[in-house]
Amino acid sequence: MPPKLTQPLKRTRYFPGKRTSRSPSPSLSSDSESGSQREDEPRTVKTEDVTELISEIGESASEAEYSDEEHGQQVSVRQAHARTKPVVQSLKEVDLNERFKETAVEESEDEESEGEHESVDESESESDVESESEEENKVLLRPVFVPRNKRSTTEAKPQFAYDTTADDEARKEKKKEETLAMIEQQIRAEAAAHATASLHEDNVIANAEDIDDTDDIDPLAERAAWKLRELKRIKRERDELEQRERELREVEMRRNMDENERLKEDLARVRQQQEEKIKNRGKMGFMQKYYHKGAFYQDMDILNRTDYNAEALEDDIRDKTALPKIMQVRGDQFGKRGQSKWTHLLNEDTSQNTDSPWFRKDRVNKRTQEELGGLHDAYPSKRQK
Amino acid sequence: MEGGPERGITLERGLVKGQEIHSQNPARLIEKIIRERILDSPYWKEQCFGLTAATLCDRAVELTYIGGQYGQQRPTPFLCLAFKVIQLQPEKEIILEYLAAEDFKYLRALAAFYIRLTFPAVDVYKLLEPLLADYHRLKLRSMNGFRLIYIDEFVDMLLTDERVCDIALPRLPKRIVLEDMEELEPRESALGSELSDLEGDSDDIGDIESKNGISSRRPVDD
Repeated sequence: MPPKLTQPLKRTRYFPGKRTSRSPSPSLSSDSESGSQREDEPRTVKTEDVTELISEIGESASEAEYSDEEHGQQVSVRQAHARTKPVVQSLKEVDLNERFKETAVEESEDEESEGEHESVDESESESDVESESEEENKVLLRPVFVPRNKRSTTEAKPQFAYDTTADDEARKEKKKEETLAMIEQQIRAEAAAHATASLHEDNVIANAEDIDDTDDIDPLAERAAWKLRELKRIKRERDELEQRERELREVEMRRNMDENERLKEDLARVRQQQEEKIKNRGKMGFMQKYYHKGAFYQDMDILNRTDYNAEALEDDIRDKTALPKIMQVRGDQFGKRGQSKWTHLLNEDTSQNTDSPWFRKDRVNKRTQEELGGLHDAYPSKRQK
Repeated sequence: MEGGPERGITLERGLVKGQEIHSQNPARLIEKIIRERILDSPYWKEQCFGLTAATLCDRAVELTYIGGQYGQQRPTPFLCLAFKVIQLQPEKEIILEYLAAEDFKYLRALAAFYIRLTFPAVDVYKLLEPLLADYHRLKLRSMNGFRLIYIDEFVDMLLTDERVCDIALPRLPKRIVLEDMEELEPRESALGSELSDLEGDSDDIGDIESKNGISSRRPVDD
């Protein structure tokens, strides 16, 4: 059972029409205590009361916010006024009278106009209420709507071309001509495209104009280029011929050889191939994975490719040695659970026990080593000499 | 299907009224997939209906580029016309006339293409090698876009490559083989006398390149 409360729980929720315990009932106080005062000074509000009023409003706004709205703006002022009066009246009056004596008169005049605004602003959220205390000293202007042409802030905007001024006439004319020319050009292009498109295809040929297939632009250059191509073709044919002849010769020679000689030649050839392969083998990058796509879905180009150690996949960071040791992992495994950085066997080898304190040959370790079974060779005991 | 009463080619498996080429239905020279695409293309449907050799000539003259397929696997008009020629199977003389048309390079290219596809090997070499001296420009359209090409390059591709304009070319024996069989003479280049002069100076193509101040590499084919 929960402990019994000495004081009843304070109700912080809003119930319409109910007063919370903190705020005293306005009807009582307003009638009895401050009624006479208000008759005397209907409009002027004392500075100390106002400050108190505002702070009070700030405190109790959460509790009595809705009540303020309900009962009207003027009432709320009175309520706050009434609330502050009996509570700390004497204290507050003493302090503030000394401090604000000079500006009291001025401020009271300001508060006249402010009193109206406050009522309006109270309907806003409590954050505004708090900021009001700062703006207390300034004069708040009533917002008045200014039509667009009369505004002073819009003068900075650029004037558009349809502004009719004497200087722009010539410019307008020029622009008209330009647009006409552009339209004409477009129509012509469209007509031309249409003419060819009707025959061949619907789409306009995209970069057909980039490539010019008119001949005789530069006869000498063209002839020279042709000559070059022709020579390359001739060279190619000669090379093929040579290759063919070489093969035929080799075949002839092999036919005349013995079995042993053939074998010797084969072995020599194979050995040479291996050496070349090793020589031409590319160096694998740091932590590069050996990756072969497989031969199934590829064409004959793979025959030309001899180096499978070259990087097949692109990595974001090429040089992993620059990274801290923890980050030197493959792919996106860094930071993932279960990523134990297994690099290669030599790295994980603990069989040599070089740095392990257990197996060091110190004076400190001597005793331990001696007592470890099976390792008496490290520290031969005096007896075993 | 169309054409004169004696000539006709069935696209489906069946009797071929015309001549068989490479011992099969000539329409089979082009693969089924590409054939289907050609038959579905708008150019074929609009322009290639009821063509004869003469009217085909007109169409070929209007060509602006050669090529196989482009964009979303669309066949070029060149390809459609090539298929039309295969369908029509005009006489040899007509084709030779096409080939000899100096003014219309695209017609020439079309004829060369047809020759490579249909004629026997010896004739292919004999007819196409003179074109290796022709360096007129052509536009080649492929999946990668447009490319500049020369007639001699195109003919070289026809003679050496296995696939030109997205069509698998019939097997052509190597020139050397035919020379050994004494059906062909060794090739005489159009350079001829110039070649002997160049050989005297240097054998290295690289030197010749630098001499002429050009370096042209044979681009990778589409």
